[in-house]
Amino acid sequence: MMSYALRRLAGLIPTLIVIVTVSFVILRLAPGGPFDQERRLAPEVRANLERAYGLDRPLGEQYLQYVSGLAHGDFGVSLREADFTVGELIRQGLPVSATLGVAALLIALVLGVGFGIAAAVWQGRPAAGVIAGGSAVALALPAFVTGPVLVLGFALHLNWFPAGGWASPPGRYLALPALTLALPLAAALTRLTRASLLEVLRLPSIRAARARGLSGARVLMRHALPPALIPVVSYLGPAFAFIVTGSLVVETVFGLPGTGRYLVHGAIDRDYPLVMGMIVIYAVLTLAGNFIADLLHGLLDPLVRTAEPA
Amino acid sequence: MSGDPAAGFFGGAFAHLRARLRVRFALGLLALLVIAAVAGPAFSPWRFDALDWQHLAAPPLTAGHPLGTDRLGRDLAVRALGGLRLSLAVSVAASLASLLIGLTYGAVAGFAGRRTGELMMRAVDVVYALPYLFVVIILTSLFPRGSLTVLFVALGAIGWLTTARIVRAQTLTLRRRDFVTAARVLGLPPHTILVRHVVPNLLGPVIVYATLTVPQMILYESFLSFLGLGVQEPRASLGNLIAVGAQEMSSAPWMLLVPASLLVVLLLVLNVIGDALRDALDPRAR
Amino acid sequence: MRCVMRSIPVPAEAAPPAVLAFTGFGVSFDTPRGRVTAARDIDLRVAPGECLAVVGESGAGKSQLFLGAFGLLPQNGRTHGSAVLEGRELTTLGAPALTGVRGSRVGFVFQDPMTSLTPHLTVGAQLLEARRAHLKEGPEEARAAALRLMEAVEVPDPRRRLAQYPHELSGGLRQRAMIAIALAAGPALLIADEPTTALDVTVQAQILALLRRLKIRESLALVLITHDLGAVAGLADRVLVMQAGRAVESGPVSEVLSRPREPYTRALLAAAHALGTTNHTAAPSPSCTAEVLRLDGVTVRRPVYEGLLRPARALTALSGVSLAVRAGESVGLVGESGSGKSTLAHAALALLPPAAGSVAWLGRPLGDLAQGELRGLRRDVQLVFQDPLSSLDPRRTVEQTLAEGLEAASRDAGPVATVAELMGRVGLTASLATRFPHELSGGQCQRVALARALAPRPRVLVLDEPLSALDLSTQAQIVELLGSLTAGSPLSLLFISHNLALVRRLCTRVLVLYLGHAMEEGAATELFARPRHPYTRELLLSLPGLDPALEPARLERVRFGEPASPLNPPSGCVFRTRCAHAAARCAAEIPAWETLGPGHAGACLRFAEIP
Ligand code: SF4
Repeated sequence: MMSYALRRLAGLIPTLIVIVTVSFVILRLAPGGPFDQERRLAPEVRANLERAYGLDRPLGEQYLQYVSGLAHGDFGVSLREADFTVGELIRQGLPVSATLGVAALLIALVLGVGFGIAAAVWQGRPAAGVIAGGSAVALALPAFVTGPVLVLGFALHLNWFPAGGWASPPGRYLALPALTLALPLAAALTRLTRASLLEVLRLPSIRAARARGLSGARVLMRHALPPALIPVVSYLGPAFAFIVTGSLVVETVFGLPGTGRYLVHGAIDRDYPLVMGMIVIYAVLTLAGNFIADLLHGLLDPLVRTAEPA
Repeated sequence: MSGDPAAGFFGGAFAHLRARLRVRFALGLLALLVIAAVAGPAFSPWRFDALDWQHLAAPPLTAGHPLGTDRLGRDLAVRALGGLRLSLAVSVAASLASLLIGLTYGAVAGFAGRRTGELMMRAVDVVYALPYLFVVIILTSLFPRGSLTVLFVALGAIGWLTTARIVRAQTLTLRRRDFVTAARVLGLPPHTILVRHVVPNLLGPVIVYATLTVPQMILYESFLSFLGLGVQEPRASLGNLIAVGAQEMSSAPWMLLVPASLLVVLLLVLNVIGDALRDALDPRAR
Repeated sequence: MRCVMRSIPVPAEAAPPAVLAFTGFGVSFDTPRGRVTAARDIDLRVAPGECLAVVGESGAGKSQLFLGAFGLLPQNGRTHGSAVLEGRELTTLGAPALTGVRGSRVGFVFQDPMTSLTPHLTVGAQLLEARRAHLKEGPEEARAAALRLMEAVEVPDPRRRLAQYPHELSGGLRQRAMIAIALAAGPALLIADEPTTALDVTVQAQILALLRRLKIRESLALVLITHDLGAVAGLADRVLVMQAGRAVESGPVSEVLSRPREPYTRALLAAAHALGTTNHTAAPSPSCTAEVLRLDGVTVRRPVYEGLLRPARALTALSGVSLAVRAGESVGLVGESGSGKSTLAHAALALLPPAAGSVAWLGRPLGDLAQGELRGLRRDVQLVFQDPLSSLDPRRTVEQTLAEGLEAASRDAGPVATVAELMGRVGLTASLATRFPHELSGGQCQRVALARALAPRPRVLVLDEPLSALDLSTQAQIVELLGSLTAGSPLSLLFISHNLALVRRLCTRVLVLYLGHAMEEGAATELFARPRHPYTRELLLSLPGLDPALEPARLERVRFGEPASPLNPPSGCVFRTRCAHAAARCAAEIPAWETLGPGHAGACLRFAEIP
């Protein structure tokens, strides 16, 4: 298991390098630059600025410099918010985004897996139909619709939760954003769990387990659920990416001081170091999510674990 | 011998009937939405950017404005239907583009040697590892804003990834199927086998996947427009209407609710149809 | 039919107390189209130490009957009549009490041990769990009991096996583990539902022998549900024949197998006999005709991938095998799964390139041909697959499929058959021409596949397990058809099968393969009558017969053993890990191909020493 984990981990590094390289090239090849947005700058001022940030040097050199900086944990200086390094900006925003993301992921997992199991076990009963209907509707509710509607209902009308903003610790500020982010994901997980569990329950191994006189609950929890959760675990990778992109919207809707806005604004302003920093952080997070999913998969499925050369 | 095919089959038949009714309903609703989006605005005296100074931010059921107006007095019904049309057009076009790219890429990767195919798919994996919409956000923000072409290209550029995966997997399984071997044994040349046996069997799942892509694309388009990266004012799309509505919701909630409910109904209907198509194609569901 | 059942006298004084007794028992399913009966009015009894075989083709309702008695049917299943286990009426027991009965009083063994064991739990975990569900005992005792059970099912190295996952075991060991788990809580009755169907022939015999010993040693009541009459003779004491949910005939095994009263039983037996269990009808080999297919020292390696970046390891699927097929001759290829039978077929069809050696069609070596030239020759060597459904394009009608076969023929001058003629030759009515494969039965599909292969008028027909996916009576029909197609025609067959009986009936010459190596080759009559190679003898021993007087003794002679891993083959003679005659030098020397008589040869170092 240990060597399996290490092998998977080592496999992520080339992926990360490719992501950094490709993003770097795309960003630089696109028309426009950081200093030709609002006012026209005098050519010499602009040249000075570009020299100060090293943008006048050959692209290859800039790339190597950036990568060696990254290796030391240095993300460079933001071009537009000149007083901050990218590292500082990320350090400010990331705790907020991470809290939101983790909360949403947990809510989605608990709701999704729970309802999914219920729908599979109650197959054919009205309750299962209600769950199926509910998840179909929730799946068609993007965060930028749910968010404002929840605010309208629970914040503006009922006044139960704040309409936006952030406090530390977040407490009530977290409820609506996390729910908004979690809802479609919970729906997707419900459907996935249900379908997968129904499939497993039809397997001969389940009938064989029942034929041994094991109780229904035991057959479900010990024999059916672990293999049924394999697709759910594999889905955690995409789910993680979903949370990351979804947080852009949720942070906008609720006015949260997370990292989401940096990406959009940074890209519009051609703030290369900021955008690159965001891409690196999110790529690392997404890959980490995939990695954890892989490990869990290995735990649930002995075939994956033992498929090492003898 | 094993299992209980009878029970599984008949148990499924009940559900099948209910599902068919649901799909009929969804298809009807979709047809209605499409007709309304295409023809609807023509029946209104208002253009999508015409300002009615008498009725600023009028609630629904105001005279002449069945769904009310926005802050500038523009008719919300016309704008929402126009937005629906734009969303549909962009997403269907982007789905077709991603279908074409994905089909070609996946089929090539499936027919190329193992190593080439694996490398081609590894490239797809890398792009996959990036949060999907990052690529789009970066692409759209790098080019002139509000350009529909850029939006369309950006959406098509991500949509093909999954299509490519499905096509490759499907091609690989088909290549191993006995009936393809049988055709080889008969001495048929590879291109005949491809055209006669592989492509027809590939088409079903790919087309179904393409229908499942449309709601995804609608979602992405409105997401981008919501962030201000997609369709720009004064043109309306469901996404930017919702963005404006969200800002005005405390005083004029209909500005949010009208485009939002239109979007949700559209997505729901498309999802129901897509699911039904997928079930119909899955041999295990039959 | 029912009156026949009732008329069988059951002498009351001779009957020991039954473990399981059905009286007018039946099973049905509630469906939207009303109630569908799977089995009805079944009377049966099983005593301790007795084996009842329930025989019938698929769809006869035999499995549903026993699943139903113990509450294992899906929700829409209903039972009727009475089923009594050790004096307790099961039909009125209720679900929780039935859960208590399962495992503790009755154990189940199902067809495919791979899918019937829970993949993510070790064998030991599943065994202990099954025990703990019914018995109270400490962990020490439980572990000791687990070891005892694994020994009872004759698993070598039981301690290691308990810690392994199902996928790490071979098919035979998996089925033994499954039996151990079924016996974990000491049930009085064991229900084995097609326990050997998914296994290799040699392993089938081993499992049947094990069940027989368990029945005697533990005085277990045993129900054997099977479609295979060959499994019945060695194990069963009594037989119940079922057809379409009804009991057709029942009685002691010797009576039912030797003096069947009912037409259906007779038909089943006739099919089993027709499949060659006893008689041998193949004509002797024409030795003077031309060679149509020749393999010379063919070696095929297949890459085994373990990741993109790692170099592939080569698995030698076929190792220096030679074979010649003459016009009008039928050559059989036998061996267990993994022996390289199908690889040889693919090499013979030029679908796999040989790593060494050469293949020739009609005397023409293929090695130096360009792809285009090769395609032109392909029609001479045709193939029929195991799975009839997947060998037909699901989107093309019978007519279109056959037209494609004829297209291949038409490039040659000469009269071309029509689709209708082709269909007639394989016994299909012309009205099926517009059907799609999924609208046909398995047997009909296989006839279409056969017709397609015959369309280009080939010289050689390669049949890769063409019957394994079919029902018994359909098998017999296809065998009949094959016989009539080849009789007196210059068409040659290369017939691949794990079913020795079938090969014995259809083939004039036989090649025995083990782990990709040729073991023995000879005329069918000679090889089956006087096998020389230890492996051939083992294979022949696993061949089931229909005589209840001889079968138990045969089962007792079956040796334990399964093929070694082809990724890591034994040194020297590849068969030595299983060979009863293995000596020290068998590990050091590779046996050479040795002539044993006219047309008879083999590879063993000790031919001279073993009688
Ligand atoms: S060579 Fe040795 S091990 Fe191989 S079959 Fe002959 S006696 Fe057995």
